[in-house]
Parts: sequence; structure tokens; C-alpha cells
Amino acid sequence: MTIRRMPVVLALCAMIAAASACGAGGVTETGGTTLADTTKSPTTVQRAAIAVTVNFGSADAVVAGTAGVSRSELTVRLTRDAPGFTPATATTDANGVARFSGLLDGIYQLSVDRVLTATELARLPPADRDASIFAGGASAVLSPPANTATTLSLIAARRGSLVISELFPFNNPLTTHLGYNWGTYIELYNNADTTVYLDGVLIFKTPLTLHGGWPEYPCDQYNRAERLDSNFLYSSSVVHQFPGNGRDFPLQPGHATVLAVDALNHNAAAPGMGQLDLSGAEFEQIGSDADPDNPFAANMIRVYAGTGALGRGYPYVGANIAHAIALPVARAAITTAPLINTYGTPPSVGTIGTAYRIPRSLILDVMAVFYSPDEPGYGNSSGVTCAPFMAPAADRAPAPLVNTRRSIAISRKTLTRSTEGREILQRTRTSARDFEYATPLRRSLKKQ
Amino acid sequence: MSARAGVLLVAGIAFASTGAVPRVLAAQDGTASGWGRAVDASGASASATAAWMGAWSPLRPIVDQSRGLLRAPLGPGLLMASAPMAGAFVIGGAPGALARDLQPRLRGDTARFGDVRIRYANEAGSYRRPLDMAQSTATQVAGTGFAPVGSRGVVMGSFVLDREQHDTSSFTQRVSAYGSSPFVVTDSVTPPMQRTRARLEGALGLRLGGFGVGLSAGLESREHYSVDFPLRRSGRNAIPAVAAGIERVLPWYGARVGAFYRWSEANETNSLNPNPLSTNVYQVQGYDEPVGLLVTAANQLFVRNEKRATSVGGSFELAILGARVIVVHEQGDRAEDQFFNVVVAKRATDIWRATGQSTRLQVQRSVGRRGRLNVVGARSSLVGRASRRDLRGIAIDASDASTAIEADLRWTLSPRWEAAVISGMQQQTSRRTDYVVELRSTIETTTPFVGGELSRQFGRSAVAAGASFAAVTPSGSVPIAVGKGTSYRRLIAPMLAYESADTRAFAAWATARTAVRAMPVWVSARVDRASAASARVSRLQPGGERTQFTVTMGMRP
Repeated sequence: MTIRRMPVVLALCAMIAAASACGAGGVTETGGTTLADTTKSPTTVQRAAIAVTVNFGSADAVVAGTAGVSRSELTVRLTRDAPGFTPATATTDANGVARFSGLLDGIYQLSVDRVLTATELARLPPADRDASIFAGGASAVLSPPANTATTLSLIAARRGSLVISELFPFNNPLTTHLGYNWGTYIELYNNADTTVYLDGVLIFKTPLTLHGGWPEYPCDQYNRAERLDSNFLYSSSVVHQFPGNGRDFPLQPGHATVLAVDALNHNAAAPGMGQLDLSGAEFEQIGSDADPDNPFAANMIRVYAGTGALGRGYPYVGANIAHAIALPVARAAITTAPLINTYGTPPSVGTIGTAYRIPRSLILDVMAVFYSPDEPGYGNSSGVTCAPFMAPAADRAPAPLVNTRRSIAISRKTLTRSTEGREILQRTRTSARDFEYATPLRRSLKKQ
Repeated sequence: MSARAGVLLVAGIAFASTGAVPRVLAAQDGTASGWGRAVDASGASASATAAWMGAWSPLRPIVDQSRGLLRAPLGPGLLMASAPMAGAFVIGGAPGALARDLQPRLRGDTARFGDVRIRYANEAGSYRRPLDMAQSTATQVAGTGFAPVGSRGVVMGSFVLDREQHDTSSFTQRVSAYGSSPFVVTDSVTPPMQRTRARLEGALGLRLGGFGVGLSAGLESREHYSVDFPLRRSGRNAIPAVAAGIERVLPWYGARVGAFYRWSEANETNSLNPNPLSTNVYQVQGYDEPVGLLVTAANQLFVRNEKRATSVGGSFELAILGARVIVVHEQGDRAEDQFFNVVVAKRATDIWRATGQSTRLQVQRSVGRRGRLNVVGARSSLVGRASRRDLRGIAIDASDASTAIEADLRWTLSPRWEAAVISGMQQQTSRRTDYVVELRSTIETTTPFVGGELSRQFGRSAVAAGASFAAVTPSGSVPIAVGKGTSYRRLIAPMLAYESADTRAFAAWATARTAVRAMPVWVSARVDRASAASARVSRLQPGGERTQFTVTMGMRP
């Protein structure tokens, strides 16, 4: 090769490069496709189906038969305790069976409700007309490729008397690292036809460790007996009691009352953050001297609670728990029981803690909730939620509605209205069906 | 030209180049090349010296193919580095061959080399992927050298110390976000960040009769953290690597046969302390919609990536028809486990397992009395499987393959003039099948590249100038972006769009060298630019361009 041939070499290289760069090609866009089984090795992620058989609980089967309600054409809703899961629905066949296919490994919640028509309701004797809706929930653990089957029992609504009607778990994180969650509250509602008295009523929440934990603490090995205990409900160490001596705090039928963490105008305290004016709340928690005390709101009695975060009480922002209320006599019936700490960081995780055991017969109402999978801050990032969530006698399926980033309430659905025009709230002991998102305080502080 | 004039020329070019430098530069750059790159895909280290000087590194990835941003090839470095040597150590890092590889054979070869470089570079531009640093400024001190030790040994070593500052970083703090593993943890902020790195590598080879033995080791350590931001990102990354080898000289055609073993066990730890500002973490797991997980001061995030890789290889060298022919083959395994927070650290959240192989080829010979030709080729492939803790079975199947060939022709035109041209082709294939969301992608890219450099001697000084060009032509299929979730469209779709876009990259550089008290001193400035030649708005393809400016000053003590 000589010097004169160098330009030829250079030009040749450039031509090769240019020719290759101009070659045909192109990238196409494809949509999602079902990958044929022939492309999968047996060890790839598999899918399977859940078949759920809906029937009527033994206690209410006669009522359903009298009303003429069948198990067919019921809409079953499937949710999953996993980020981003889109709920699905399926309709039961003549045998009451609904099927969901193409599901991944996981724990699923199923729920269904059936509102009686006027004709069906008219068939019932007057004493049973409270049962204007049937609802139920169940959980299913799916381990593909094996399909799974489960049953779901419907029970008739029993409206009860004092019920938890609303939860406002809004935690605006923009101001401090704790977030502004002092504006959270729980609302109670008198669902009966007679006045109830709040005096001495207990309100508490179940501990996280009762319903789930880290993967190292499987649900079937830890706290299972306590979780499924039909005779007792286990409380965390936060138990409050309404003040009063018996008839100091009446609640009229169709009326609601608010229990605030702080009975303040939170919209003024934290302007522009979507907070609410709770200065008119009838009750508030009271913590340390640092806790602002509204003299017009009655202070709750701390039965087993401390003073809470920053001494201001315990915000109602938790999920994967159940809130509950109990009769005043329950205070004397409380016993303690050990419960293994399945959440937390070493060294506390794995140790044995204390839970407060309250007889199931003294429980007035239960509201079971876990995080909404569509909230950006889906909280249970590393843990697992157990199935079943708790004993069916207490609640059959938790409501996956807690979204601490939305200034919105989780509110009990309206079932019907009484002859006097009062709202009758839906209470089927199936939180997944009984609660929905709603404008806050429409039954209490903002009631016209 | 006198020495004083040479110094003035160097200083003048340095001043002019520095004045033209914008304020930014980014990691994750990949120059088109037939040489294997070292573990770092950053432009900060990649362009500090000639490509062949980094191929021996024990830190070169095992069974992993980083996908960097496209850049035009590095220059031949006529005034900065010696011409490429040949051997199993040079192209494949086989330590047993070191002592015989770095011996002069052709005109221009040298038995000893050493330099120290100071480099300032910056890079910016919107033509990048979501997890590439938006802006970066790097200041680096680096050195490379090799020399005989006694009558039987040769040592080679290099060091890099650098600091990168990012006025705007990316959605992740992972050092190298685009490897073969489909798992990477991201968040929702791009805070200013600072990274500090130290890398030390060394190799020793001995000739023992008809045998050769060698050992090489490397360690890279990084620290990074956010700066002046109401959220604390911080992390550490340590990569130790060792290679050991042996070779045997055979009695015909100058043949040598060898074997080696490589080991590397990298650990990267990243934490988020969102105080007072909280953020959401989005875990990218293939093509599944990444869902936000809230992290607050009460729920801080701790992510640890443990990577273990080993390989065994063999080498064969032969002298035939006036050319030296080298083949190095290795195959290995890689395991990566990703752990979330302290409590569940006992079980990996995401698991990646891969096996792969790599074959490298080199042919080198003189061309007449004034030229030398060096051809390197490489074929690497891997298959990997990813699984998630929340699902049983394989969630994602993946395969990556890369084939590259590069020719380097250097010619002494006259006692004053020298020229070099490099040209080659790189083909890469990346396939992913996500069984969770039932989506597939296949991206095949063909990247021809070419570059040239011309130098002129002026007494004790010299100047050189060159340019290079690379173009990517893709084919294949990617999932349609329309209708996908918000996080997919923010984090995944633009990445696929970038990697399936027609891209062009240009670079030009100038170098001046003089001798100060018999010590060669040089300065070089380089400009890079890359942009898309096609626009696919529906795919959320990034637009604009990516530019980098680099000034390097060096000396050979």
C-alpha cells in the first residue's frame, strides 16, 4: 500500500459506514398480546382462575328464600392487595358460580351485594324488612397454575344502632416530614329509630400485626388464631372512650357526630392544603399540654392511649386495620393477650407485644380498611396483608379505600330512607361493599 | 518550532477550548467501538485515553451489556497514546499473557508507557433516556502505564479519580441504570447531586520458562449524595474484581495457549431520606406499570444491589502470514439480587440470573514499512431470567447480544506526517419478554462508525486533528406507548423510544503536544454531538440533541 492509496481507504470506510446507516430497518409498535403457552417454559409466571360460589348464610337463607332472591346474575367484584391492580367483575351463573381467569399469584378479595327490589321486599314479613340488602365478602389465595375455588356467603343487612359512618384519613405531606394529619376524623351515626347515648362508648382500632406483616412472618403462622377469633376483637394500645355519665351525649336518630383528632378549623391552620373546618366537632382527642384544646368540644378519655404524635393525639390515617366501637360495659370486660409484632424494624419486630381483647358480643360496629391500590403512596410496600383479613363475624372484607393523598372521605353508603326521611345506612358487615368515597361531613358538620 | 512556541501553542488551545466549554456533562455514555469497555460507561473515563487501554481491565463487566448513550468513536490518539498492542491480555484481560503481550513487535510499539491526565468535561442535552443524568460536569485525574519489571515481568496499572456534579440528575441514583437486568429503583425527583469516584487497577505478568502467569485486580469505589435539596439521596458503590491466568508457549508458529478466571462482586447501596420532602419510589420491573410507593421520614427507603459474577476463559495466539492472531473466549454467570429496606433484607425483592459468553478476536500486522493494521472483533451474548418476590416463576426472559468489529489502520506518511483511520460496525440485539404484562420487545441496532486523525510534527511539538461519526439504524418491535400508565410513559416508553430511534453522533477533536524538558506534554479538546435522525412522537421519543465538550491535558513523565 502506498500513500496515494490512503484516501481510497478512507473513502471506502466512509462508504461502508454510510451504506450501512442508510439501510432499511425500522421499529414497529405492538400492543399487548397473550403469549402463547408454547413460548413459555413451565417455570415462567403462570396464571390461573378463581371460581367463587355465592350462597346465602344459614341465618339468612330463609329470608332470602322468602324474598325470592336467587344466586344467579349477581355481580361479584374482585380486588387485590397489590399496587396498580384494576378491580374486575364477573356475574354468577344459575348455580351461583362466578369465574375470574388470567390471574397472577396473589391474595384476592371478592365481594358481592344484592339490593332487594320493592317486590322482593314486600314478600318479607315486617320484622325482616330491615334486610333490604344482602352482601358478603371472601378472600382467595391463588397459587398458579392451580386454580382455586372459594365460597362467599351473603348475609342480610342489619342496620344496628350506632355505626361508624365516615373516616377522613387525609394526610397532606407538604409541610413537615410528618405531614399534616391533624385534620383527620371519624364520624359516628345513629342508624336506629331511637336515641342512643354516646356516653362511655369505646372506640379503638385493631393493630397492624393482626392483619399482616413482613414476608418473614407468614399469616398462617403468626397471630392466626387471634385474627380469626370469632369471640373477641383485638385492639391496639389506642383505646378511647366517650366522656359522660350515661345520658350526657345523646345522638338522635339520623344524626351524626364527629370525633376529631383536633377540633380546629384546619383550613385556617393549614391554608391551601384541602383541609376541613372541624371547629364544630363535638368530640376531640386530647394529648399533652401541647395539644390545642377546643373548650366547646368534649375531650375523649384515654383508656389505653398515650398522648400521640407530638402530644396531639392519634391521627386516623392508618390502613390495613379495622376501626371499631363497643358498648360502655366493654371497658370492664377488656383483657390482655399476647400478639407477635410482625411489623417494624429490629429489634422490636418479632417480639411479643400486648393486645387488648374485647368480647365480640359487646362490639357495636366494625369498619375494616386497607390502602387503595391506586394511591401514589401505596403504603404497604413490603408487607403482606392476610387472607382472611379478620374473622367473618366481625367483617367479611375490608374496604380498599384509604388514600391518604386525597381530601376525600370514606363514607358508609346510604341504603334507603325511613318513612320520616332519615337516611338508613348500609351495614352488611362487609366493609368492601358498605363504604365508598364521598364528600366529607355531609351528614354532620356540613348537613343542611 | 521551538519548545517555547510549543508551550504557547498548547496553552493557547487549552485556553480556547476551556472557554468554549459549557457547564455540564453526564454519565452513561457509550462510544462505538470494537474494544470491550471497562465497567464504567461514563464519558468521564471513556474518553480520557485510547479505547484499547481500557480493554484489559479486570473491572470490565462479566455477562452484562450496558446500554449507553450513543457517542462517536474515540480518536486513535496519535499524540496521546501508543498504538494498540496485541495479545490475549490486551483484548481480553487474560493475565497470563501480560508479560509477553506488552513487548514491542511492530514499528511504533513500546515496552513502557506512562501518562497522567487531567480532564474537564461537561455534557447536557435533552436527547437522553429518563434515567440518564440530565446535566453533568466531571473533573478527573487519571493515569495509565505499563513497564517491564526485572527480566521476566511486566506490570500495567491505571487509576482514576473524579468528581461529577449534576445540577440536575435523573430519576434514579443507580450508577448504571441501563444494564441487562430489568430491575431498577427510581423516584420522582431529580435533585442536584455529586459523585466521587476512585478506581485503581493493576496487573502483573511473569514469564516462567515456557509459561506465563499473571494476576490482575481492580477496585472501584463511589459515593454520591444530593446537594442543597430538601431530600437526601446518598449511596455507595464498590466493585472489587480479580483475574488470574496462566499461559503456555507452544513450539510452533509462535503459538500460545492460556486460561484464566475472573471474579467480581459489586455491591451498591442507595438510600433515600425524604426529610422534609417526601417522594414516591417507582420500582421499574420490566414493562409492568411502576406503581408509586410513598417514602417519608417515617418510612425511609434503603435499597441494596448485590452482584456476583465469575467467568472462565481460554486464549489462543498464533503468528501466521506475518500477522498476529489472537482469540479469547470466556463464559460466565451473573447473579444480581436487589433488596428493599432493612427488615426484608433477608429476602431479595428482585432476582436476576444470567449466563453468557464472549469471544474476542484480534489480528495485527505491519502494512509495508510504514503502516500497521489492527483489527479487533467481539461477539458477546447472554440470556437472563428475572423473577419478582411477589410472583412465583420467571417474570421476564431477556437476551442481549453484541457483535462488533473495528479496524485501525495507521500510516506514517512522512517523517512529519502520520495518519490513522478507524472504521467498524457494531450490532446489538436486545430482547425482552415480560410474562406479567405479556409484552415483548426486540430491538436490533446496527451502528457503523468511522473516524480518522492526522498529525503533523513541528520539531519537538506536534498537532493532530480528527473527527469521527457513528450512526444507529434500529429494527424490531417495541410495545405501543399509547394507553400505558403514567409511570410507564415517564420511565419506560422514552427509554424504548431512544433505543429504537435512528441516531447520529459526530465528534471532532484537536490535540497539541510539545516537550517540556524532554517530557511530552499535550492538550486535547473534543466536541461530541448526538441527535435523532427520526422522530416518533407517539413513542415518546426524546427530542433535541446531546452535546459534550472535553478538555484533557496530559503528560508522560
